[in-house]
Amino acid sequence: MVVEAQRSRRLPIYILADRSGSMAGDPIVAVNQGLQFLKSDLETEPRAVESVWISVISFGGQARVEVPLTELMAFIPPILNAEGGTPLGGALRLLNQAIDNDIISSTGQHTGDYKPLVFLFTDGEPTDEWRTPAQEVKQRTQAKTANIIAVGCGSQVNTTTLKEITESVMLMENTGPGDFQRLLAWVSMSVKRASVPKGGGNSGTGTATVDLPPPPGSGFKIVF
Amino acid sequence: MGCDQAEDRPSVLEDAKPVEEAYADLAFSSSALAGEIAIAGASTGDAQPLSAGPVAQQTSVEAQPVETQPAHGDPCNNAGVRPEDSAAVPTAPVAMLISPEIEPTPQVDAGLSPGISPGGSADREMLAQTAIGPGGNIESSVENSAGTGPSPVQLISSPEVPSDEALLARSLALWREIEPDDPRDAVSHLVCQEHVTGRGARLVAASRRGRSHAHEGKYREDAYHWAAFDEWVVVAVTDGAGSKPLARVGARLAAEASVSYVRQAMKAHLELDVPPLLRGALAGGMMNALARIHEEAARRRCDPDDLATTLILVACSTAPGTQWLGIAQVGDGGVAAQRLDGGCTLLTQGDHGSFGGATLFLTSHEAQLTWMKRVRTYEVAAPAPLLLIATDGVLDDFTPPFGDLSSLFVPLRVVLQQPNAATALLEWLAYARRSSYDDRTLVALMFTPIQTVSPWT
Repeated sequence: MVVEAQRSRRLPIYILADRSGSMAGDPIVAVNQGLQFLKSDLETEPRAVESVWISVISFGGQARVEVPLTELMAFIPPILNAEGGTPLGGALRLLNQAIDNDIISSTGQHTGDYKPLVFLFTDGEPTDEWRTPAQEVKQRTQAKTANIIAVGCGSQVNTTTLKEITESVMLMENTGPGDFQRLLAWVSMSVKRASVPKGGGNSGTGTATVDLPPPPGSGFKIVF
Repeated sequence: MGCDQAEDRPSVLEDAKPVEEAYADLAFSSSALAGEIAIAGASTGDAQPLSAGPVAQQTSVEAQPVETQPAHGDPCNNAGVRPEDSAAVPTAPVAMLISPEIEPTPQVDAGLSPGISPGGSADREMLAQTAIGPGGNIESSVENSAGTGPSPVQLISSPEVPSDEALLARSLALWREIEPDDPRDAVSHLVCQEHVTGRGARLVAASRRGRSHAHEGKYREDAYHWAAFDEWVVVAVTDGAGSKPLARVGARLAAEASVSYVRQAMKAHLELDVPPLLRGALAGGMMNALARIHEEAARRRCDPDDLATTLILVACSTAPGTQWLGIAQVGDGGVAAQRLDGGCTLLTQGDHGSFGGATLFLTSHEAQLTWMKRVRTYEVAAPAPLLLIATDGVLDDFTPPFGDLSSLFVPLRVVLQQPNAATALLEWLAYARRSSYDDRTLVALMFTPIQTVSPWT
């Protein structure tokens, strides 16, 4: 017997991808391939097939929602083009709006969707007003209403900036194709862990942040 | 009534016997030998064999009272009901082996990954037979949205969205069913029971391992336990914390220790008025459950958090005149009742974090700070025709925002009418629903026969 759900519990995943001019060439190609890998890898995990919804927000020149929150099987990984400055603030604003609109949060009366999991990749300093939306994002992590992981890519990134957005910051020192591959594989693993009911840190006592796998090898460092 | 020292209180839970053997005695709880289903005899006098399949006797044939201590001369052969109370003597508990050899009948070709074992259980078969939509169409619709490469022009388009049924067919091919590696603290994947007390209260219970734990090769981490004595029925339903290694142990111990405490407390203080007695017994039940967890953690030299679990503890009276209902809760899941007018009500709120899946456990500091707020007693004009106590693996599918209660009560009223209601309930709990893959446990309590047709508004 199949019980059709009027609405089923979702694990919302937001990817915020930097596609500024400095990402042109190999890095942006690697990000695009990484997003395709993410989809095909998650499709092997039944919990992800049923529960994961993905959205991609990009920022380069302007910030835009490339793909609104879409269930995994219907998700088409976007092809990003690199251009312009780094409007991180704009991307964070779009993220805040999306979380407010897309997700059913739990209240005293009922449980809602799983905690949204956000991955932010950027390779440089933001070029727009970003502090205000960053504060709002940070408050969500402190209130435990979202898990946000910021990955700084390459040598030009400022991890202090990233720390103003979230406590979970990882540094990817090199930006070769292999590095992005490992990064997206790590993202996929994190998402799979988060899709386990009452497992990991996406649930449980509510005090822990998501239970992330260790950084995927050399060249990746946790920024404490 | 405090928690006795472990040495003073002979308990079936001591390590005198290996775990599997110790639990053969407890006929009325969810602890059953791995791989078997224990079905307690119904004492209604409509004596009929409960199982249609091969029957295996458990090592202990007599029905034992539901206690964690020996019966000290109590001639009960039915959970806490004295022979003079009961109209009929229950038959001995019967264990029925569900054959692991039932072949699933996959109707969608391809997509069966090598990880699937060909000999599935009854619940795989249920999924295979019922989650399939219109055959070949499923694959093609899903493939179109997933299989094509990146298109040169990026549209924020809405590709063909698979229906839930089609999606479940897809994930079915991916779900594995794996036996746990660790033989210690083994828990059976499927359990169900039915019982009628001497006072006419009828209890049907079932608990099953969810797809997620099956996929990970973990045990079922839900548990239930109950006792009936005098005019009272006491039920506990628990859900061990998924991230904790001994969750299944904590769940079982909390269920048993809370029920056992309530029973002892109520029997020992019959001189008290019911409301304070009931509240004290329920609060004490929660505390005793926690104490039992701490005791076990000390014995195993581990952190009590490793045995973290939720707890729903319910006591109802069936005495003519004033009826009482008491509920104590830490964590999620809950209690719902069908009213006499046919509508239904959720009686509990549960603990929910700011996001799905989060909850509190007995071992959580925050829970312990709020003990007394967690106990509610109700005086009711008549007992509810049907009371359901369930873990979130079931309840979340039938409460807002993902469902509604009437979709639970309507099918269950039919299920509970069947001759083998316990098995029927266990099978019904195998329903396939998107994003719902946690362990599922449901205990149904009835005081009068359910009407098949009722005035739904």
